[in-house]
Formats: sequence, structure tokens, C-alpha cells
Amino acid sequence: MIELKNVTKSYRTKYGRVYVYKNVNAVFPEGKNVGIIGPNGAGKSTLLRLISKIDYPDSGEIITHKSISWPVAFTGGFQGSLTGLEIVKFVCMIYGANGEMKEKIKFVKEFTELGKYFEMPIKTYSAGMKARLAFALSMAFDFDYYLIDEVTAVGDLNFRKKCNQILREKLKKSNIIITSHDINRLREFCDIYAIPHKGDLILFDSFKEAAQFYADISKISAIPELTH
Amino acid sequence: MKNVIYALFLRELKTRFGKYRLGYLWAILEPFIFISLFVGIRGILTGSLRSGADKFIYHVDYPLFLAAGLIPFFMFRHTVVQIMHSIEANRGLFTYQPVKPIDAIIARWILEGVIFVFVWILVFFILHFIGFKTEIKDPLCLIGIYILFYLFSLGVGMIFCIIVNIYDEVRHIISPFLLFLFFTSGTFFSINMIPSKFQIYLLWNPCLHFIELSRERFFPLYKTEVCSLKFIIICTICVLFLGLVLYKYRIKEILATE
Repeated sequence: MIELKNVTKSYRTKYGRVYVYKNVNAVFPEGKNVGIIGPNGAGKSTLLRLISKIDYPDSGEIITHKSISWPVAFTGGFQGSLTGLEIVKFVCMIYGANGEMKEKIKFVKEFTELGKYFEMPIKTYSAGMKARLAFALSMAFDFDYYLIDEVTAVGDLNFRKKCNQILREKLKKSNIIITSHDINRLREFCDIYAIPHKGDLILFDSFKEAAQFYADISKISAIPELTH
Repeated sequence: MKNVIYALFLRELKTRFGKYRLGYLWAILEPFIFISLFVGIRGILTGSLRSGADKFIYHVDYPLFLAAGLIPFFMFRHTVVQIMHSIEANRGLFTYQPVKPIDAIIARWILEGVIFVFVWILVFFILHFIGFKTEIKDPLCLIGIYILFYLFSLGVGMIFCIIVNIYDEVRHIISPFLLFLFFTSGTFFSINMIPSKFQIYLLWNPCLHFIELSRERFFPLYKTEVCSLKFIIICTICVLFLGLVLYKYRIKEILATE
């Protein structure tokens, strides 16, 4: 369960303060996969950042006892001079998984199919290779919730198939919170849908209602308005 | 937390000097360059390089005198600068929940300490080998003062770190400020050379006390009556306290996007 309690989050812009969320109260129930839907700039990623405690709300709090992953496919911690192997070792160490390090390295190496590149500096990687490494690294760890920002198409068809397969495997024990601007892509994974709308977060249990609501608000701009 | 600091420490170790393979050599070269520079200046002023190096300052060989001032000061400066930049340099890593900014700060602090110990040993070993020999008067007290200086650097580094992350403009005055400290901390002169009517101004600088007191514990015949151990203990406690308080109350503001 993840509970948002009176969460307010705003950004300062050149033209004034933008409230992405204003006094939001919401509960993501136990064992449910959550889809967050909204156009670009609606606050999907902000919500993920708040849930994973990378970012902090202006006021209010987010309460959970579950382990939450870093955003899957996050590559911000990949320093160019380090090798893929070193990155995996580093993440194993900070998560206190020294004992299982060997298996995790093996898993990432096989899953990414990076071959020799696995022991070469990240700066020699292509964007696709980096994305693969990031995805595999997240999957090597067990969390109660995986946070997925935009269902991204990583790599070729074959690799995408593998990703879907392992994600389904993970869903047996864990849950995901996934964002997208396209509700149809979330249908196969999600049980409940959350739509940021005018500073609030509206939850739906059924796909139909959520799709209807999303279609309605898409006609008018959902991007938060500036308040002076 | 221990795991995280260790992992960050290893990461810093690999990336401390960026792409430069000889980066750690630079850490040794830096004091030697400055020692040569000041010996050279003194040599030019007195007419020959030989007399520059042979000059004794209050019964201490000039190169030894310089090394005993420069190495701790460089430790201070590097520690402050490294800690100051530790948040933006590691911002990407805070996405991994176990990594907190304080871990990054402590990892960098430890690395600077390790570098200091290695540089100190190497430089004095090389100087000894060249022929500038000395015995250490009071090794335990010397180490104590170094540790105090090291803690002081942590406090100052944390204060600067929080301040520059909140007020970005301040970033530009840190470099000149540290340069100012370099010239007023007794790295290449002794407080005893300064007329007493000016001493009172210089004595506001805690770094000067650290350096002069460490020299006093280092060299058998060196004396600094005007420097106070009490003063640097109070300074260390104050900056550490202020640094930790600033960290505790302002760090969320720094990490949150605005």
C-alpha cells in the first residue's frame, strides 16, 4: 500500500508557480498494479519521483512500508568512465547484496547480451545498450513495487519480448507503477488507473471509466495552469 | 550506510581525477611544486637558490617548514572543495534510495584523508632522502591536531556545500576566498615574522592556528606562543555543529526540484 497524504508539489517557473499537485489524498491499495496516465507535463514523472523518494513534496507526505525500486531504465547513475560490470557491482553494494553479487552479475550479463562491452566503459555504449543495461539492472533486484516511466521500446523486437516476459514473471510477486500518455498500452498490466488532473489525482478501478475520463479531459489541456 | 559509503568511496577512488591516469601523481607533485616555488622566490630574494633552500626559519629547514604548512593546507582546501561539490557530482546516484547526500560527503571526506596521509608520508620521506631531516617532537599531539584540522575541514566543507547549493551565486567567491586563506594561513611564513600589531588580524584565521600549532608539535625547536589550541577546538566544534544543522534542515530543499 502506498498512501499520499495532503501532498502538494509545485515548481517555480519564469512565469510563476505551477502546482502539479495540490493537497492530494490517494491510496494505492495492496497488490494492485497502478497505471498513471496523462499527457506530457501532467505530472506523471513527478509522482514517480515523489513515490520513490528522490524528490520531496512541498508539504504532505507519502507513506509506505514497501520496498520501491528506482525508476526502471534510469541511466543517471552511469558515469561514463565506469564499466557496466562496475555499475552492477556498485548497485549491488549499495543495496547490501554483496552475497548475491555473482548471480546478479551473471544475470545482467546474460540478459543484456552486451558481451565484451559489459567490461568496457559506459561511454562506449550506444543509447540502446545503456537502456538494456539499466533495464536488466532493475530486474536483477527484488522490489515490492517497480516504477516504470513511460513504457519505452528498448532495443529490438527480440529484446522487447524478453523484457515483457521477465516483467510478467516479476508481476507474480511484485507490483508495478507505470506511466504512459497512451492508456491502451497500460491495459494489459494495470488494475487501477490514476490520472493527474488540475492538481488532483483521480483514481479509477475500471479501464473503461478511466479511458472515458481521459478522452474527455484530453479535449481540454491537462497541463497545469500557471497561478500567480 | 557503511556499505553505501564504501561503495561510493571505491567509486570516488576510480573517478577522483577523472580521465587523468597520473592524477594521483599530481597529488604528490602539487606540494613539491609549491615548495620549489617558495624556495625559488626566497632564493631570488637572497641571491642564490642554494641559500633559499638552506635558509632556516626558527631553526627549521625552509623546505620542511613549507611542507609542514602546505600539505595540511592542501588537505583542507581539497576537502572543502570536494565536499562542496559532492552533491551535484553525485546527484544521479541519489535516485538509488540507499544513497543519501551525507554518504557522498563522507566518502569524499575519507578519500581526502587517505590522500593526505599518503602525500604526507611520501613528501617527508622524499625530503628526508634529499637531506632535509628532522625528528618529530610530539607525534601523538601532531596527529591529534591533524585530526582536528581534518574534522574542521569536514565542517567547513558541509557549510559551503549547503550554502552554494542554496545560493548558487556564492560559488564564484569560494575560489578567491580559499586563495585568500592560502596567503593568510601561514603556509609559507611564520606568524612570528609578523609584527605584533598585525598579528591580531591574522589570528582570526583558524587555519593559521592549525598550521602553526602543528609545526610546533612537529619541529623540536619551533615555537608559536600566540596560537591557541582552545581556539581551534572551539572553531572545530562550531563549524561541525553548524554544518550538521544546515544539512539537517536544508538538505530536502536542495534535493527537491523547485
